[in-house]
Amino acid sequence: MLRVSIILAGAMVLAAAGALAGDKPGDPKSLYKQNCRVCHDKGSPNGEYSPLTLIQDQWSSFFKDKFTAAHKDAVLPGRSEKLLEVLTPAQLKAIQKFCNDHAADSEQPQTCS
Amino acid sequence: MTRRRLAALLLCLAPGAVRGQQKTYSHAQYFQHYEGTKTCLECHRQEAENFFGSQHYQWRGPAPQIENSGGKKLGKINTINDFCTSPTGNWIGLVRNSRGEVISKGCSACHAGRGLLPSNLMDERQLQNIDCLICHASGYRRDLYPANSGFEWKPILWQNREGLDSVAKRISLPTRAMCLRCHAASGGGPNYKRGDLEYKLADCDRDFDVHMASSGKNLQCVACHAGDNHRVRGRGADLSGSDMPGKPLGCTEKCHGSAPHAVAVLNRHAKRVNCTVCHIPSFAREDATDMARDWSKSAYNPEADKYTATITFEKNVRPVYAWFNGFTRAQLPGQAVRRLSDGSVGIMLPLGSRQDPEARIHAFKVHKARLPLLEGKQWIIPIVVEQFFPNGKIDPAVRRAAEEMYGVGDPRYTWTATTRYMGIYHGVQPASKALQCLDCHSPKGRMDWKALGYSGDPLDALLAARARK
Repeated sequence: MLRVSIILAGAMVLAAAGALAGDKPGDPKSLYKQNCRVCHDKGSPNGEYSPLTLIQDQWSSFFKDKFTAAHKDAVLPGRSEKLLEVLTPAQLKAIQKFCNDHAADSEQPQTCS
Repeated sequence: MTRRRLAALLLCLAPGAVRGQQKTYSHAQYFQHYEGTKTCLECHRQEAENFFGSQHYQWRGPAPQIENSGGKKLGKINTINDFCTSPTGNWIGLVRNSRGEVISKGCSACHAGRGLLPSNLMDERQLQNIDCLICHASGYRRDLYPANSGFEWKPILWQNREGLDSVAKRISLPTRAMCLRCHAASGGGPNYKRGDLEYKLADCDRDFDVHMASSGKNLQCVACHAGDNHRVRGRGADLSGSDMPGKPLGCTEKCHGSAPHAVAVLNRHAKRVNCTVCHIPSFAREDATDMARDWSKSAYNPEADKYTATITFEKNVRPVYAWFNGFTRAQLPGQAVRRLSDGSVGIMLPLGSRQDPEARIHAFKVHKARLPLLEGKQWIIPIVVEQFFPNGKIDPAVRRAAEEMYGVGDPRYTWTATTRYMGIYHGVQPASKALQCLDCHSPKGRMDWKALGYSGDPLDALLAARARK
């Protein structure tokens, strides 16, 4: 029992430390515009996407199952680094939350325009 | 055992734990693809036919409580109000500002239809125009798109079949959030019109509203307002038409009884004082409400690049108190105006007096406005506000409305002050925050006793009479 308590306490300390260490991701709408909309605007050959293009379930499964594979070679216009190398985990999480919060079936669907 | 418990705990904390569960929706087994209202009609034709005749679809209904209705069905579709004035000329369309941005889409944005004007005649086209999902599907959102004959309200997911199918299967009774999307936004913005219908009611605490508090009774709007056959109960004091005029809505009927207080003097008060007077001491507690709208003075909003009337907003507003016996006098289109003692035209006036045994004192928001008045006829003219919003030119917007509503091509008009009494019924606070005796019965009390037909505070008269005995 003592061992379990120590493991749990350790996990909580590590989680808290991770949260503190995490960088501030920035404004989610700006992040979306800078990292997503640049390649998925109206008329884009990559397909037009905004938060309200999909419902929340679709965004969840997209980020869980498809995002990494679909963007492994993606490079932001005017930059040399790959998108997956530029985005921090905190930024990606913020974008994911923004898409979810403004999905087609959310209380505040947004086009991000 | 301990290890198993720990494993279960970690599993619960895993972010994807819930995601993995298959969600089930109420209508998952009834259809595969949502093809518009015809999908609903396959099982719910009777409901659609019932709804077709309702206030929410027709925007007019029986108006026996409007003293001067002349037996006509009335509602927002054929009356004039002192906010956006009338759907005439304002029903549907994309209005753009000088930057090309859409600044208005018309009154039909809050009609439970897909864009057609409601007709008296029920046919398949009208039934398929009913937008069942706007009130019954929690994740449903729609937008205005060009269509063959003009414009059409369509699901924003119309190009995402899987998403639309998912949303269309989430059918439930209307929730507060669904009702508030239209009812809190009326008049052009959050709480502009009603004053007591705020977005906060979707998720509020008991201090804000004891009935709807998420952590309290959590009553949905339909708990009080649902009638039979897609009809809605309750008309407040200033709605012209009513779905169920024979079944007025009140606090005492089902829930609180006719003597709800433990103290006799309060129950005696309740015979002449509506519950709202003491239990809703103020309104517009979260979002400021429009208390005065002057259409004769345009205002420019540079951020939205949009012109509006000059609007005066107030927050935490103390209601005005007046007698109300359930009947109202309305200023209807094509009827010469009647003026109040202050010279303004009464758009909606509660009837009743101290001498009327059916009347009780009610709490009101009193809304002031300035509206155009047709010279000679003395008729109120509405405004084609959709024409006015992009350029601020009020004269052509008034002229077009006079033409569309009255067939008057070259109207001479002036501006007149108006007054409208709007009943306050939502935002009931806990008993501990209700008005106390001295809030009314003191030299600085909130009641205007003379306006209510008394020579002074009736408590003073009662105490003086007792002293004489």
